[in-house]
Amino acid sequence: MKRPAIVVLLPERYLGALDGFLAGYGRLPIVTPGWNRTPALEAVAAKHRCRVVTLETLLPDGYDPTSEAAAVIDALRPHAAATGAPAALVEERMTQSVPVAVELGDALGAAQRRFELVLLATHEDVTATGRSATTWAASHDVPSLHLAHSLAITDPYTVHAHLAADKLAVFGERGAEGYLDLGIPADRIVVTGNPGWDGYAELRSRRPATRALLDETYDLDPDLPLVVFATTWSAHLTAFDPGDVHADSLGHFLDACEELARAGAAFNAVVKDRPSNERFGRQHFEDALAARGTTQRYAYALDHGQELAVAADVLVAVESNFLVEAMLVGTPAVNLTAWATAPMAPAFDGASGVLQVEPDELAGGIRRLLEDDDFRASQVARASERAPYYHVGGADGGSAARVAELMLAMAKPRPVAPPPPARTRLRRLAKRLAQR
Amino acid sequence: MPAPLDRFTTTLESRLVERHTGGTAASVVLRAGPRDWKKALRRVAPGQRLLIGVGPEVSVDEVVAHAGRKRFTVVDLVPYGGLAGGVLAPRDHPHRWRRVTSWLGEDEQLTALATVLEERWVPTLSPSMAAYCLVVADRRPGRHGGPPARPVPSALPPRDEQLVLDIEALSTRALARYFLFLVVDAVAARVPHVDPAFLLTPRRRDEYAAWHEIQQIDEDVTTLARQWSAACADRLRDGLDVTVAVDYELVRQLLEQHHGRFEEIER
Repeated sequence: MKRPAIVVLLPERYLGALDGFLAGYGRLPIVTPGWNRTPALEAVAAKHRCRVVTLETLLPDGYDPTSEAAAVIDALRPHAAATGAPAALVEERMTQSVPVAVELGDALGAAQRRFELVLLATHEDVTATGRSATTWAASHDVPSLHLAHSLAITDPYTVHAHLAADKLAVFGERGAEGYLDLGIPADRIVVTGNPGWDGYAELRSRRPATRALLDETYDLDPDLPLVVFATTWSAHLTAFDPGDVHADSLGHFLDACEELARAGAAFNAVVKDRPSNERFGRQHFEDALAARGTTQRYAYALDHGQELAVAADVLVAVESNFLVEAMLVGTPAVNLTAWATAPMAPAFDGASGVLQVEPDELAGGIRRLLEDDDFRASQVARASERAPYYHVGGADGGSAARVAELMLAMAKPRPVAPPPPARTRLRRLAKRLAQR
Repeated sequence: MPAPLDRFTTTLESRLVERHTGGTAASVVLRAGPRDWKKALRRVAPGQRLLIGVGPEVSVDEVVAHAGRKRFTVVDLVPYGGLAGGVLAPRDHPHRWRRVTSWLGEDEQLTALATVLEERWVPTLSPSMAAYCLVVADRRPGRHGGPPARPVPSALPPRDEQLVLDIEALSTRALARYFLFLVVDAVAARVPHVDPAFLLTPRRRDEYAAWHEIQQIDEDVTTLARQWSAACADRLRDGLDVTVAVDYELVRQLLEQHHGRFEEIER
């Protein structure tokens, strides 16, 4: 009989769910790729006395994915040439990505020969790894859960327009809408919330202290309101993407702040960039300031995302989950729309309390939220009321537990060991009697 | 029906009733089912006006014929509720449509555009193209009623240039424009052989065409990514289709290089 094991492709922010799962399921090996074997994962494993098994170590010595994939790539070559797209383009992609699937499939196959894989949990099923893993699980009788990496407030398009895993866990009912519209059955979608937002339950009650921390860290004026812009990026995965929404939208924000400053408004402005923009983000930010000859002072942040969401007096973002976080913690939210090459479906609904503005309306929107107390209060009240539709439970901090419960319901039951032979049973009985 | 769309339709209905009561006492029965409208006809005194708003389960022809037999002259038939399940409402992506219409009553321009479409365009259609129809009937003092005062149109009305200009002026923001394009698509899907751009100025026609072209590019790259290897049996390795790993980067590169979507971007 094989011992049970779980395959984990979850990032650190979702490990609370794994923690809850292990507490309920009991000890079992955690199988994960080497790049995902983080100190945080090791800590959760250690807490439950679980072994972490690196997928790559299950492959034979000298395993070479490129040579393993060579035969299938040869077989695919004529098909790549017949797509109508430049053959070299398809072939290049195929040569780079097929070995990823081959290696992952072989490693998962080796894991399955050694363990009874009771569940595969991943935070995405679109990239080479996530998609290959969930597709592998479906053809190998391993239950699979895709815990959404974000709330799909933009309807799933191109590479996102499918569900490869058995089930999709979404943050709130809003996150199911796009998938239901694609015809994915409702019983494959479960509303759990985002374990990564569980911290808001506590953080939202510490607003003054959080603001003080930000004032200190970013040299903000504690007497002035805080306007935060959360940047975005262009994934280049849809033709609706104009190419560089990061720069376009940052420019709109800076222009709006300058307009407000010229009109006499005084506030702190913080640009919260994505950690993935670290390589170029600050330089682009400084270039954008220099190009404008700005008068308003700006701070640039790569960290403190949740603190900024809690402490901001106005949070501006581009169809972003950051705005949902603002809804959860009572921060007035402004969605900068009309960024695409052509009109797209609204990300938020009319009852969301998230102010929708186009670039030329941004300054007015920020100003109204800063200065019109009734409007601000009404927007926040509406957002708070609507928040559970976007994130189940609001900021109740219970999402990791809900995901853990789903994982427990989906996982194959722990294999039951056959009863020991009669002689062993007699020996144990004799031992117990002797102890009396 | 989602609440904002229902509220919007109820407001339309109230204005419609007000316009057709003509300042005189009238008997009004709205959202009438098959039993309600016959009862309503019996309660009207000679010389009085009756307004019956009938739903999709009621045949307007039957109401008109019956009213004629009961000494009514049908003075007008006004279709309404184009968005509430009529010709303006898409039949697919119901959650998206609910989200779009959730802005009725919230977004000023979208609400104004929807109102113009409902009040100036939907009434010119055949009642079969709307969710509801207001039957305006006067009970004549004499023994027999007359025929309907206005023939029921059987096709789309001719293009109204002023309406088309007003629609352009009310779709300057992306939300209203998105709504407009969905509505035009819905009509095109419902009415055979219609020019989908019949409600659009040349400028909006170009934008509508570009919007379709962009959607088509997304569909094309998605189809290519999903199907390019389908005929190759060797793509399966121990049950795993190893080509699924290609999709994500392939779609990105098809958009970047094959379709040249982001050429002007340096990084």
